[in-house]
Amino acid sequence: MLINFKYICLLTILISCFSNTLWGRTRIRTGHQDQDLYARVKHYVYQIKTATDAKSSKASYGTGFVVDKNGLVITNYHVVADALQDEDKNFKIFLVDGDKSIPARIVNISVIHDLALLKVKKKFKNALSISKKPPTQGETIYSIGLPKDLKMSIVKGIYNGVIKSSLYEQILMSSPINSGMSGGPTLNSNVQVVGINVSILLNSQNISFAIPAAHAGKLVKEYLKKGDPDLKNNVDKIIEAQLHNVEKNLMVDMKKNPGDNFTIGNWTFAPPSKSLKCWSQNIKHDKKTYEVTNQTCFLQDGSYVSDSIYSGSYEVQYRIVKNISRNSIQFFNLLRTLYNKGHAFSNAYLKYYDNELISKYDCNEKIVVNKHDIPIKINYCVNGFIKYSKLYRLYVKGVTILNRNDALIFNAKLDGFSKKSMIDFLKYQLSKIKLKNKK
Amino acid sequence: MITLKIFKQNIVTPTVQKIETFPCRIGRSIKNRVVLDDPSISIDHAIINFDSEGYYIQDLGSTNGIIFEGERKDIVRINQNCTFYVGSLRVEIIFGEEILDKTRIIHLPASIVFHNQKKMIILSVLYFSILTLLSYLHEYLLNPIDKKNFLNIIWIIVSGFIVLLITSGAFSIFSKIHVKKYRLFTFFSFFALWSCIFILIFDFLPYIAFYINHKTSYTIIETVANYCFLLYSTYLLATMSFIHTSRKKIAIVAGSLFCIIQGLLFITDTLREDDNFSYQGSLSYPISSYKRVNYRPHGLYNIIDKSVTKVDKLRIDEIKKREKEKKKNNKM
Repeated sequence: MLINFKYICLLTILISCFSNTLWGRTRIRTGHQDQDLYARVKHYVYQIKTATDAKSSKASYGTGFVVDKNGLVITNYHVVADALQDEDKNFKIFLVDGDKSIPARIVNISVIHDLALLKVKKKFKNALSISKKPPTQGETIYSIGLPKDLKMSIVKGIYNGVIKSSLYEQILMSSPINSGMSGGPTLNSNVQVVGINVSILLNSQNISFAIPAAHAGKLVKEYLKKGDPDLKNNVDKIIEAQLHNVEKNLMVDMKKNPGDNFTIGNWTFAPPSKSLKCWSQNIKHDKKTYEVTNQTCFLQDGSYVSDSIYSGSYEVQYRIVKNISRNSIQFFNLLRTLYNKGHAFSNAYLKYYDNELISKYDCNEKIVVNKHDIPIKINYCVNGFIKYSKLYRLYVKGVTILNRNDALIFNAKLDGFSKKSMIDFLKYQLSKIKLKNKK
Repeated sequence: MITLKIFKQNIVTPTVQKIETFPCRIGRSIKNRVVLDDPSISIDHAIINFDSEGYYIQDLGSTNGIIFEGERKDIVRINQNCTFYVGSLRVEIIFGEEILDKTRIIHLPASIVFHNQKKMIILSVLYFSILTLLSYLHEYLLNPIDKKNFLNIIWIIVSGFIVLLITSGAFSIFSKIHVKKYRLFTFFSFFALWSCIFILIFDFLPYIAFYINHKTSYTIIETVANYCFLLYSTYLLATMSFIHTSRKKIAIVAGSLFCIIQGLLFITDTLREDDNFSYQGSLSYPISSYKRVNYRPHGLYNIIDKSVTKVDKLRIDEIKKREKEKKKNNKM
């Protein structure tokens, strides 16, 4: 009935455990210059896989590239996440060099930027250097990786600059990268790394994202400063600290760029931040007995923790339901179904939680009157991340009704927020709901 | 086939005699088919037979004769449930296989046993018209009626009919009470009554919910509305199965069963976790009735705080559980 725009613009991580041959094999025509590039890059780019042991088949795979001769390799965090999140630690990380699988270990991670630094016991002849200057817009760039577990491929693309609306910098590229290429380098024509392939936009053509190479540079610097700490047991704590950082940044962003007031019908409300992408949609029932106006706002960023959970992202939805020709019982019945079956905010969604990573939830309800004297009935559910303390997921929905024929339904979903942030968020949201012409 | 229930004076429990072949002679002599050893009965007292108009009992020149409605008669036409005296013995006549106990009839939902076909036809027509009307009402309350809904309604009626047929059939087999002919119709009337109540309560519930601000009372109403149908059927089943023993026992057992089921339903209803996230009545209307003094947002933040501590506990429990499992696995 109502289309959720979230799915249209969902960023998907390029991780795949299955060989998907649906898209066919793309052939890249390589010119003379490109042949040269291929030969030069060949020894710096390897496949990274997670598997139970060196010989067994892979659980997930991606690409990594050498940044230091002494065996430092950069890849995406989501490529190796399986090995980290696995409870029994059965999965190990390997670098595939021809027929050999060389074991690797994680020495530094950045969940925010989806990066992981690996150390391999192998000396490389040379390493890729990180470009100090960002490329100019429109410059040709080359994304390298092993798409779909096939063979090293080069994808030519165009650099479109850094996306500014997002909280964390991302490079927007016009290039057809595929799953399996994540973690691979994006190079400029001087064979310097400008970015790391990370994701594509679902249901679109050739819209790809990369992480600016400077962040990878920072990771390497940090590692060289610290020496060689044993990350094995601390990984969870490091991730936890980073996730808390993400959440703090979000709250700062909400305070700095509060969203503008929106007015639909009789109601006025405000999304929490300007960084959110908002979609509005007006749906009239066939017979025009009622009218629903949706305003969905969501954050494009989010830190990948595992396939089932993201942290540091949130989504807000406002629905204004106006009665046209229904009687009050009909309208109330409609309101009830709309309130209870609100897509991502429905009960069904709550049930499919990942038992390994997320705790059981606790729910409650309350009627609240905000400072504009509007009573709002609120239901909420909270659950927490098991591995990372003091980070919670909150689902809230609220409803208020005016004169039996005009209702506002408010939905919000917060992933990876602390208790204080959740309450601050709700305080702000509730205080912003008011009537347009208050009598 | 006829069943005779013969009562002696001052004795409550009757003698029951089935008669399958006719004519059948009644008297004190052992030559008779039904031997009644009582001083008021003659050696050859009466004979039961049938003709084109139905069954009758005829006096065979006895001393005390047959007394029907206070008068001594030569021939008495036998109807369902008719009573007459043979000598000083009271005789009740029941048609059909089953023994129709009076105490049983009292507990039937629709305690009507039909004597003619016309009533049955009227009742069935009534039943289906009520069902149709209810379905339309139900659909109208939820959505204004259009073509799609219309087909829906027809489907509701057809499926409702099938369900009722099956349930009533099962009911009558279970209860073994009725004369086969009448089984379905008595139960139809019972279901019609309860579907009426059920749909009315269920559809108007959201409207009532406007004015109910107390959570528990709302839950009770909702539960009763949702399960009254089921509760009543279980109550009936219970009464039927215990009917043979004594009425007191039935009342106690059925009552306690009712209470237990009601309680269980209520508990499961309130304990279902996911239900807390759905609508629970009490929508804030009229707006002016809620005042900030009593419903400050602070209350919400407090309960969120509590939930968070609860989630923390759940998390720690989960971690401990896993550690235990790990230890176990390591030992293995």
